[in-house]
Amino acid sequence: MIAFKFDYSRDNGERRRECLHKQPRHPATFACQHQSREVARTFDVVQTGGVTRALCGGERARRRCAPGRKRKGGAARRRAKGQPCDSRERHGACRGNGYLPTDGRLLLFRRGLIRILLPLTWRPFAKFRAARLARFGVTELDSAWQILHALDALDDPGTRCRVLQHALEEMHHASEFARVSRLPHPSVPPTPTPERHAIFRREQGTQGLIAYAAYACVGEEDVLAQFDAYASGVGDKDAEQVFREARLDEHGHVGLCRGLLVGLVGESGARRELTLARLRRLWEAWTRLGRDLGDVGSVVFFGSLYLVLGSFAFVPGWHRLHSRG
Amino acid sequence: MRILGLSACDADAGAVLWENGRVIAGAAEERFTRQSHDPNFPQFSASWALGLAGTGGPELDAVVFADDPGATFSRVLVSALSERFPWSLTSFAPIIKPWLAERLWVRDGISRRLDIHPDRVQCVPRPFAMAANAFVSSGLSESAVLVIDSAGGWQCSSIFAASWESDRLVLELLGGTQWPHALDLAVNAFASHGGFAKRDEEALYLDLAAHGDPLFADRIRRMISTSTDGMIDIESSFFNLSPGTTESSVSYTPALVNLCGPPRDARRPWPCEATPSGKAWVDPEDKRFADLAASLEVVIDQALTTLAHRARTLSNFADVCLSGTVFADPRRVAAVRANASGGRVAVPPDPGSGGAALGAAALAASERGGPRTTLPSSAVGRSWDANRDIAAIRLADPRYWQRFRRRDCAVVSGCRVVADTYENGEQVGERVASALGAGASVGWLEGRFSLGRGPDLHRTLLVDPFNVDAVRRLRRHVAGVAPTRPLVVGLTEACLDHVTDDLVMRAKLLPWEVVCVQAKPGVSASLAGVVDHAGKIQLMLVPPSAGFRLSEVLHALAAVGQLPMVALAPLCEGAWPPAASPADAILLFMRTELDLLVLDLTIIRKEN
Repeated sequence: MIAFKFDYSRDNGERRRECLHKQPRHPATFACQHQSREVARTFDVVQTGGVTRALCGGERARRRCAPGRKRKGGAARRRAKGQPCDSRERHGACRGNGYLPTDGRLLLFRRGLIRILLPLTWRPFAKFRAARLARFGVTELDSAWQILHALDALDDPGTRCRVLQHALEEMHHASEFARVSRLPHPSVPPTPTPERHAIFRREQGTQGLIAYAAYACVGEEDVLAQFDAYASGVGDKDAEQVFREARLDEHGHVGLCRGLLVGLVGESGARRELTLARLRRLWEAWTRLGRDLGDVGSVVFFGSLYLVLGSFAFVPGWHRLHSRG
Repeated sequence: MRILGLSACDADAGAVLWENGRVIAGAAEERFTRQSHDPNFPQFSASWALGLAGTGGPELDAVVFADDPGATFSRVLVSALSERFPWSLTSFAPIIKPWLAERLWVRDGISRRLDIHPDRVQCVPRPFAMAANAFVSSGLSESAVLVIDSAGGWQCSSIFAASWESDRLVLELLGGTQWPHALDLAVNAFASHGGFAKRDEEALYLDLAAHGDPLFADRIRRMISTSTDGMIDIESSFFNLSPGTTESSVSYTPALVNLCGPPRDARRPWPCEATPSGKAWVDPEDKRFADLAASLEVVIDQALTTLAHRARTLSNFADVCLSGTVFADPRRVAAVRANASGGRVAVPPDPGSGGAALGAAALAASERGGPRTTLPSSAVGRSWDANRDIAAIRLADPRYWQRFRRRDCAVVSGCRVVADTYENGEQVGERVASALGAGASVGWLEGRFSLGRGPDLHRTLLVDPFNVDAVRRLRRHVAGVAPTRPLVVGLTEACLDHVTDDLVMRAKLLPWEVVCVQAKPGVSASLAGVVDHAGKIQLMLVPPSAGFRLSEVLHALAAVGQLPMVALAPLCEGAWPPAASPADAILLFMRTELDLLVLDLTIIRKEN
C-alpha cells in the first residue's frame, strides 16, 4: 500500500509541499522525503474558509486559464478564441508545468491525419459518427475504471480524494460522449463492451502503481494532443464542445498522474518510466495496426468462406431454421 | 469439494464458487468491470471468488462453464449462413471471428487462465444450467422448471422436471422449442423498434405498457403465437435472426415495420410518468409505441402463462420455477403466478445469464456426489471496508463537482462534505428515517452485494414512497431512469395489510423475491409515487432479522408512527451496473442529487 503524507505550508509567500519520511519502492506505506519544486507546482494548495485543500485535475487548468490571470504574449488572444493558454500545450510538447517533452512531429502527423480524415468519414455519415462518439465514451469509462482499479493501492486520504475526483471527471466525459453519440442519428448507436485489461496489477505492488501512473500520464498526453484536432474536425457543435471541455480537463489529469509518478520515483525515475510507457504504447499501437491489417485479410477470407459455405448450406440451413422445432 | 461455475455468453458473465453445498461467493462480472451486462470472460469475478476462498485454480475439483460451445456455434453458423443470404455477407466475419478465436476453445481458455488441467474443465448445456439455477435457488424438493433463454445452443425455451433424489439433482428435459422460436428475440426486436438500446434498456420498453392500450395485440399474435402443443411459435420473417453480436445489426425486418409502423426516433424524450398524475402525451406517435408495448405485454403474458401450464402438465408437478431474463420483471412472474392454481412460482435471484454459473456449479457438484445445494441468501458478493473512502471524501469540496454533475442535476449546495459515524445500526436507522421523512434521497451500501440486478437490500437507493415529489426527484435526478420505471417498495410483514389484500404475499417467499400485486384502492392515492396506472405495486419483504441493517430504518419509521415502508431502486444511475464498492457509491453521490450516502455505520452528506 502506498500513502503520501502532505504538509502544505506557506514559506515566504511561496507554496511548497514538504514530504515526510520515505521508504522508496517498499510496498508498505511510505511518503517521499524530499522537497520537489516540480511536485509542488503540480499540486497547488489553496485555503478556502479556513480549510486547506489541494486543487485537482481540471480545476488547476481552469484557474491557469481563467480570465484576468496574467500571461505572456498572446495569451489573451488565445483565451478569447477558447484555446489553451500555453502555446506549447497546443503542440503537445509542454514544459515547466510538470509535462515532459513529447515528440511533437509524431503528434503533428497524427493531428494532421485526424484533421484530414474526420471531414471525410465523420461529417457525412451520421451513424458512423454516432458509433465513433459512443466508442469515445467507452474509452473514457475505461479510464475511470482503471483509476478505480488502482485506487486500492492508495492509502492516503488526500491522494484518494484527488484520484476519486479524477475518476469523477472521466465518468463525466463518458456520460457526455454517450449523450452526444445519441444525437446525430435516430437509432441508438451500438456500445461495445471490450474486455477489461487492467493496467495496474495489484500483485506487482509499488512497481505496478508506478507503471500505471506512467502509462496513464502518457495516455492522457496523447488524448490532450488529439482532442483539439477532433474538436476542429468533427463538424458537430455538441460533440465539439464535449471534446474541448474534455481536453481542458486532461491538462489536470496529466499533472495528477505525473505528480503521483514523481512522488513515487523522483524526477529522473519519472522520465525513465514515461519513456518505457511511451515505448509500450508504441508497441501496442504497432500490434493494433497489425491486428487491423489482419482484420482486412480476415474479412476477405471469411467473405469467401461465407460465399462458398453459404451456397451449399443456405437451403438446408433455411429449412432447419424455419422448421417447427 | 470446491467447484467454480462460470458463465459468459452474449450477456452477463459471472462466476460462482460452490463449496460443500453452499455458495460462498458469486458475482456478475459487470460489478467489477463497471460495464453493463459485460459478456466477456469473468476474470475479475472469478479471481475475487478464488481469492476470497484462499484457493487457486489447481485446488479446485472442477470448473464448469455454463454453455455447450459446439452447439451454440452450430446455431450461430447456420443462422449467419442461411438467414438473409447473401445480404448478410458483411456481418459474417465479425460474428464468426470471436468464435474461432476463443469461444469454441473455451475449455482450453479456462484451463490456461485458471491454471487448471483441461480434464477438470467441464461444459454444461446452458438450458440445464439455467434450470438448475432456478430449481436450486427455490428450495423446493420437486417442481417443473420453465427456461426462456436463447443465448446458448439451439434450445430457446425448455421445460424440465426437476427433483432431488437422495441429494442428487435430477433434471429431465420434457420439451421445448428450438431456434429461432425465441421469445427474448421478439422482445429485443420490439425494444429496438421502440428506440431502446439493446440489453440496457429493453426492460424500459415494457414499462410503457401501463400507458398504452393493447390495440396491436392481434397483429403481434401473427408474429408470436402458441402452437397446439403449447409451445411458442415465432414467425421469423419479422425478426432478424442473424445473431445480434454485431454492432450494426438491427433486430427487426421491414415486415415488422410495415405491420407496426416506422421505428421511434431514439432522441425523443419520454413524456409520460409512472404515476396517475402527470400523464401527458406530446405526440400521438409516442402513444403508438405505448400501445405496441401494451400489446406485446398481453401477448407475452399469455404465452408465458400457457408455457407454465404446459410445464405443470408435462411434469405433473404443481410448483414451477422460472428462469430467463424475461422473468427478471416481476410483472411477467405475476402473470404466471395469477394462473398458478395454487402451486408455488419461484424465481432465482439472478434469473438471467449471470445465474447460469450457479446452476452449472450445482449440477457439477451433484454429478460428483456433492451435498445438496442450498441458497439461504443472495448476498454472496464482495464486501468492502469503507473507512479509507470515508476519510478521502471528507477532504472533498462539493463545489468542485458542479461542472461534473450529471446534466439534469441541480447545482450542488454546500461547501463541504460531512461524514458522521454512528455507534450502531439503530442510530443510523433513526437518522435515515428522519431524512426520508424530510423528502431526502438516500443511498445505502453495507455488507456484501447480492446476485443479480434485482432489488438489493445491501446496495439500494431509498426514498419515502408516500412523497410523490421525492420519488420523482429520485427517479429523474438521482437514478436517472425513465419516469416510467416502477420502484419496488420494501416493507415489513406487519405492514402488508395496509397495502394489499393479495394472498400471494402471505405465502412463503424467498428473500430476494419481488411480487407485483394489486394495491388497495385507498392506498393507491397515498402511494401515487410507486403505484402504476393499473393499480399494481411491487413489494419486497425486508426481513427483521440480523444481516439486514435496513430493517433498522423501518423500525425507526414505525417508532415515529409512520408506516415502515421505503421505496427501493438499484444503487446506480441510468444503464450503468449497480454500485459494488464504496467508491462507486461515492461517485454516484458526487454526480447526482443524492442527499445522504450511508456506508456501513457512516452517513455522508453535503453541508453548508
